[in-house]
Amino acid sequence: MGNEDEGTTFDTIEPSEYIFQPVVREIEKDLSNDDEISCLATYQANLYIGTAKGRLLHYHKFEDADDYMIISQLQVSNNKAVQQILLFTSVEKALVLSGDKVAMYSLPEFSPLNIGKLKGITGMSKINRVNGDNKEGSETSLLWTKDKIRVISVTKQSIKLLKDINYSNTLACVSTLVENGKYVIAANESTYVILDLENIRQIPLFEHNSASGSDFTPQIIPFGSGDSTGQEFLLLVKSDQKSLMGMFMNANGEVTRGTLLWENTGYPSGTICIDSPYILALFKPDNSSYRIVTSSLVTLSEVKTQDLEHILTENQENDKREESEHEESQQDKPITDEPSSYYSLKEVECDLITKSSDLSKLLTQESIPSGSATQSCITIKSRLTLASKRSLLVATRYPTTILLAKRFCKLVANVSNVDAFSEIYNELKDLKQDNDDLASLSAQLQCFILIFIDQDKFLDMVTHIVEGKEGKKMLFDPLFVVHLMSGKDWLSTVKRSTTVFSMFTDIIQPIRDRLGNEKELKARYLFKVLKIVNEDPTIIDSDISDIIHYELYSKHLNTLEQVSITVVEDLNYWNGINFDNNIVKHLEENNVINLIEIYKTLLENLKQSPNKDKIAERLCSLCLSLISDTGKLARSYGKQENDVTKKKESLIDLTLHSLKKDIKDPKTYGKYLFEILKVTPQKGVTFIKNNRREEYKDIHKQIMNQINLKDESDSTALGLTHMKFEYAESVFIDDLKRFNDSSSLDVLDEFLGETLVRFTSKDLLNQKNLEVLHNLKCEYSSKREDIGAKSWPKINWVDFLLVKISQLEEKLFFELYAKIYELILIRCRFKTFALVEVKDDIEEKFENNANLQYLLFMSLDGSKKIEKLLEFSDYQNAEYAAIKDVLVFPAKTFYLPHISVKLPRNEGPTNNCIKKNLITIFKFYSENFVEDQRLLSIIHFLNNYEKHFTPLEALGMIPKDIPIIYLKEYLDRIFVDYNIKHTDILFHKAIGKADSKFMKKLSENHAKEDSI
Amino acid sequence: MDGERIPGYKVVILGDTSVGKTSLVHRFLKNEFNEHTANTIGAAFITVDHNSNVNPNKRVRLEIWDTAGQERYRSLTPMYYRNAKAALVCFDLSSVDTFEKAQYWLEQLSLNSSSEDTKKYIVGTKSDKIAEAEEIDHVKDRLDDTAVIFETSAKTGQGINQLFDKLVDDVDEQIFDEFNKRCEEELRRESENSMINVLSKTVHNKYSCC
Repeated sequence: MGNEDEGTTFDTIEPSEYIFQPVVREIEKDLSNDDEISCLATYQANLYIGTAKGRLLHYHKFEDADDYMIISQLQVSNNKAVQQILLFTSVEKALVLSGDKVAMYSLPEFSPLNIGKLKGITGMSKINRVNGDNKEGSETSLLWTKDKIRVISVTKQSIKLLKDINYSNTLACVSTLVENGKYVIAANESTYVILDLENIRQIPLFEHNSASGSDFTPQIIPFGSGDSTGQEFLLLVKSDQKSLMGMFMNANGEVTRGTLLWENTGYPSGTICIDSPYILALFKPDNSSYRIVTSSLVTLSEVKTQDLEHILTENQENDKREESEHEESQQDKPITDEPSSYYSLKEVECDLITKSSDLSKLLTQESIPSGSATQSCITIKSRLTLASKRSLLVATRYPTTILLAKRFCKLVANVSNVDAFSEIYNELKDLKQDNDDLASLSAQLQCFILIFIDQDKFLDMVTHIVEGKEGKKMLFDPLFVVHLMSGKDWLSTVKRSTTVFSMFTDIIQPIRDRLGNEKELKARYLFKVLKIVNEDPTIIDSDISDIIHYELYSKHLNTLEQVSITVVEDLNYWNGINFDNNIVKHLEENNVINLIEIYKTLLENLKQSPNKDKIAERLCSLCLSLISDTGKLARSYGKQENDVTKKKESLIDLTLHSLKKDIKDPKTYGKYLFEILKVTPQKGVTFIKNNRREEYKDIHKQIMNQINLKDESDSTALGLTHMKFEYAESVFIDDLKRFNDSSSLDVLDEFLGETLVRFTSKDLLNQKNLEVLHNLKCEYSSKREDIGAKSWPKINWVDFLLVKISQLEEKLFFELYAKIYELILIRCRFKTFALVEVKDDIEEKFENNANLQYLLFMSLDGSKKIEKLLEFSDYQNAEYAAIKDVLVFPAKTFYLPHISVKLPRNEGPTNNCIKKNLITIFKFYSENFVEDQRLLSIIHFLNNYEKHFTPLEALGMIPKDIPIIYLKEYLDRIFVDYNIKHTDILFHKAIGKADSKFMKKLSENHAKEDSI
Repeated sequence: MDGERIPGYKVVILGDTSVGKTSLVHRFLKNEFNEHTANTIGAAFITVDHNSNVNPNKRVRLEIWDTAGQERYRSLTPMYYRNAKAALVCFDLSSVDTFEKAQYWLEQLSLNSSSEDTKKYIVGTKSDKIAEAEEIDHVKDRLDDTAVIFETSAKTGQGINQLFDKLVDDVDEQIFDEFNKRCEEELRRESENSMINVLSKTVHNKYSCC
């Protein structure tokens, strides 16, 4: 027996080695002190043991019990050993031979049948029926007496004698009915014969014992498949004093195999059993202990010898003791051929089921990670028994699965040999397993082998789902597979454990090493499990599911695409988890990029999840942690710091996208937007500009107000300042669209204030810009006529500026200049211009600069305004202000087009006032201009404002040095107009006169007629 | 055949644990009572020849299977009442709960088609513990009118011999007829073929209840 404590290791298990295990552990209690086992039989879960004192012990194996339990005892004879129990299961009857009497009992309870007893019987044997008809309700059997062999029929009610054959001194007898031919192989003290029952004749076979006076007991052992060709018999023949031969033949007496020889073994003690493909024989060679010799039925050679000393466990200490006593008593006797009957091997009718401590040891499972060992109670089934006087054992070979597992372990430890693995796998896959533990061992072994020979099959196997008592589950504990792939280190953080068979513990590492190069396989496995769990979360426990997820997300997702695909498959998991789990913690520390991708994919795919806000917040937080720390960003992507610009941009875009789409909480929104603005004002403000939803208006405003710059020289701060303005401008434009009446002026004032602040900021209102402005102003003043139009007056100052902006490098300052101009114009259309909040500051800054003060001209009174404009050379505006008292809008306006309402009309100046203003302008032209410009301006003046003056006034204003001919056009128009008016008067006079004459004549004629 | 040949009559004793089945058999066989009788394991088999007091010639070999009442062995019990001619279904008169178990065995016996011929006897044990007859009446109320309860006490011996006498009195004549027929057949065969000596003794007596 492979007991490690006794020095035998399981590593040396051979296919032909047998395990012996006690069947009834407490049989001692059931046997009286001087009683012993004499024979046994089994039927269903019942075990019947006959004793030397004529008792019959009935044991039963309850399904839930480990051991056979005694349920009744019968005294079948008075102190005469029960020699044989023959069971007839089809009629549920048993024949019991005790002394020389045979009695019949009812099965399974062993009730005695009161039908009398058969006497003078020395042996019994059942008839093997081959292809013959079995009469329903009866079974046949052979009984032999000193001089006869009797064929009897056993029915439910009785025993009937069918035939008597004269044959003296029968020692062994086996019968086979081949179809309707009936043959009996029998042996007497010297010879084996075949008895033809039909024709009552004997066919001698051969002698089994040539030595006269020897007590050798012949044995006929039937075995084989049971068909006409497969049924065989092993007949024992005494070869010489110390050797034994076995002859094989069929029912026809034909030899079927070679001869089996047991040399120098003595003669079998008890009996010989055949457990195909092996023959077991129990011997006790001289001066040696009992041993079981196993031979091959195929090669007919000895393949294994097992000493009973090693077979006996502590349970059989009594046996050992008695055995030694037995030997001592035998030593005094002369050596004879009589076989020792201390032990006997026997094959019983039904399987005996018992626990096996050896198999339990072999199938010990080690808990991972604790390393504690667990032994299941492994049961074995076998018909092969080894009985001693006071103990009963069953014998079975080590399961093939264990042998294959051992073979595999050796191969893995040495050289990996795929062909050998395939061979083991092919043998293993079709094996029927007797119990769950062997099935598990087989499964684990197949799993190991498939890693080497077929990884697709491996994946199929480890993700196979089976229907258990408690619903569906995975054939393989995912923890086991993960352990196989990943090692022990991760298990320290896990509460759950898994198990592996102890015999495999040494090969796990070599297999894992092999798998080390198969990262894709691991990922595929984890992904497959994850899919299974998502389809049916009940298949594995949630904590194991967590482990699978952790393994996959933390170690096996190498590309963002893999992350994305995995998360899409895994939405159910992420939808319901706490985001402070191990995966998130691990990724936060080790792979932020993957975590960002997880969050991103979740936001894209989760619909109406209560977690969406939280996920978006985490995404923004993570992105910003990278955006604001280039070093960390570079480390996370495994790149150089100067090589992550695009990544940074992409993260910013992602953050902004998430802010816009997923963050609903205004505070959170504001918090992250502000952070973005600090890092990238341009994108931040652009984002704000493009995301001007009403609900964010306040928060945007707050953010803008928070941008309070202390150091404007800082480029970021400057950028922010500008962005802040851009944002304010975009909001203002929006507001303009809703601009209804003067009550909305606050918006305008506010923005005008913002614009002035921006305009007067240090980065814009600087010497350089002022110089450019000055130069432009000089250029403007020196222009004598309109640019490109040769007409008078030239364009106004702001239009000139806007035209020139396109040629400037720094446009912003000048653009703002124009914008302020426009804003003030708009503002003036509603009410008097006033800059309450910024006035002091602006005036201080504009005080010494005429070019800037131009912007404040609008606030001056009419005549002053005109004077200043003329001084500034903005004649167009001066003329316009003279008539309208306001300045003209530039050709290109920034805000005016967005105002949906019509601007209110100003009350223009009175005609006198206009006339006065125009005279001021005319005087300025005539006094300040020279040559062509002077002439041109006067001509322009007279042509445009003639209606405000009479010709005399106009002619009176013209300087005397101006030749009148230059005013021909004006004069022509004046005189034509005068002539027309004069002619009209003449006509009226002529008609009046004619009418008077007519009336006078008519009156005279009428008087005449009256007089007539 | 060894000894006198009389027909066998298989009797199974059923009932809940500790109702006193073994004590009942013990009193019947040995006229003794042991207060501390151990629980029966599985089943005990006892044979005893018994004749009817009414008709002393009506004699059978009672093959009594005294079954274990413990739940553990309940699955085995059908093995013993199969082919039984009579079943003594016992309950403790002082413990009405045990009557529920008795009911169970009665139902099982009725359900089992192979036990149609089994005569059923409802045996109340430990009558010595009953102070008032009313308690028995409660039990009787739950049975149909035709059922008879045998009130017994292994301690005092009350009603036990009467029970087994009744058992033998109730044995069908047919059993004796079949037994005699079988004996005659064996005897005839024995005389026809001198080689066969199946039955070691000739049948000396023919039994009859009449």
